Amino acid sequence: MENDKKTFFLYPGQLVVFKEPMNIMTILGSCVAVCIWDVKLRFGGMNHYLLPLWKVQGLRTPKYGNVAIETLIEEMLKNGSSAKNLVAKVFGGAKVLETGEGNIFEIGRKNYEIAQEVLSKYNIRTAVENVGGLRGRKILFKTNTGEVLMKYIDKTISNNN
Amino acid sequence: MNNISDYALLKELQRRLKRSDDLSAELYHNKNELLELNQKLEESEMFKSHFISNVTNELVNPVSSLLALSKFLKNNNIEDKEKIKKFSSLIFSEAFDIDFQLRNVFFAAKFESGKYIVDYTTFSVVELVKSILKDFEHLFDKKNVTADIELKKDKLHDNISTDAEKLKVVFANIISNSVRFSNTNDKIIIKISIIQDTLQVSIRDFGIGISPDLTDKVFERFYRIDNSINSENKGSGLGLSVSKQIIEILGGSIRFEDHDNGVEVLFNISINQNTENIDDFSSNGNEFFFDGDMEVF
Repeated sequence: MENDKKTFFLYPGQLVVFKEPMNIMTILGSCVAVCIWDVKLRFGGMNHYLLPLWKVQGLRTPKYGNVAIETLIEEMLKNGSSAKNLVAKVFGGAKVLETGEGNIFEIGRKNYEIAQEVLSKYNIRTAVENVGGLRGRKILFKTNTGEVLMKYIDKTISNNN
Repeated sequence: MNNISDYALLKELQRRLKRSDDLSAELYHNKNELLELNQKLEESEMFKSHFISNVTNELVNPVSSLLALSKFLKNNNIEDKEKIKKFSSLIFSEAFDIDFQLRNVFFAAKFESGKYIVDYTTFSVVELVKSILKDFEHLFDKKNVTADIELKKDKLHDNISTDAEKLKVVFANIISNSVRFSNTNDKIIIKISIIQDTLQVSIRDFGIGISPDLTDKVFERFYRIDNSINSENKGSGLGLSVSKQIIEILGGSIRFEDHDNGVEVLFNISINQNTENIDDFSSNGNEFFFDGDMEVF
């Protein structure tokens, strides 16, 4: 394991892009994280969103998929990327078996669908996706190699991840 | 075709009819959702344009008075100490207001870009509230409003672990709203309860109150109850949406309760965060989780 790099723990609703080598780590349940990597400039960023769409409730933050993915792409472009060099890796969107309001079982699927939708709108290829299922995931994205390590989590995880 | 019985055909037709009905219902639902969303977007756009004019109102005007007041002090050789004190406290209160409004704008911008950091520390919550009351002293004095703090706890101390700077913004927004909407000589009651892993807060004022159908709307960004330029209650319309966002980040919830006289704001946050996730940066500590059963993409 490479121990020379720093690890950044990404909380739900946060979004980061690192030009320097960094391990970005997060834990996902029904949430989805999109990792975007620039194959040419070899750097990347990641988001972690809880809900698919911002429906004008409260602040327009990356807690919502449509905002999170567009903002992440914009951040990559601001850092010098061209859209054609970007690839995406999508994780999460599990069915979290907890009772909640509305279509709680559908949130994982909807979170994944919005990723497909926004990425295809920007013509960004999805290189890898590991989504759905009943288990949570722990992922670690290496921003200098574009590699993502993933491990399933068996214990119950909260709705907020 | 002859192989299909009438019964099977009927069943299939029924199935397809049902599917078509379901799809129509879904379409109808989606259409309504879209219309509602559109209306909300229009409202949001309207709030946003109000925000821009509010910013002018709330930045340009105080800056003009700051300039005028400081120029007067600079150019006139005033020896009356009381007068100097009066002028400098006016300057302070104007500058304080600008700083407070800008803080909300900065926080909103940070949250909207996703570039915020959660910085956990351990501190006394009562001391934090007292420091805010001290900061807003000029606002309290102006209306002769007083504040009472009531503390309930199941520990010896009132120390909590959370992001102090962010919690301070929440308290500051709610307390300043309470004072602004209070009547002269009113009282504000701040109840703090620290039980197990939760901090619960109630901030109750006895002011002009809020209509029950607005208790959710106030959390929308740029929303202000009174949007008129001459409103004596200042604000960007960002304070409560910023506060709600902070509360959610700190693992809690916030709501308004309207009373016959005045408003009660209730919020709670989790105060005993798992330290494993607290360090935003660690050199290597977290990686051992990937030693076994790991997949690489």
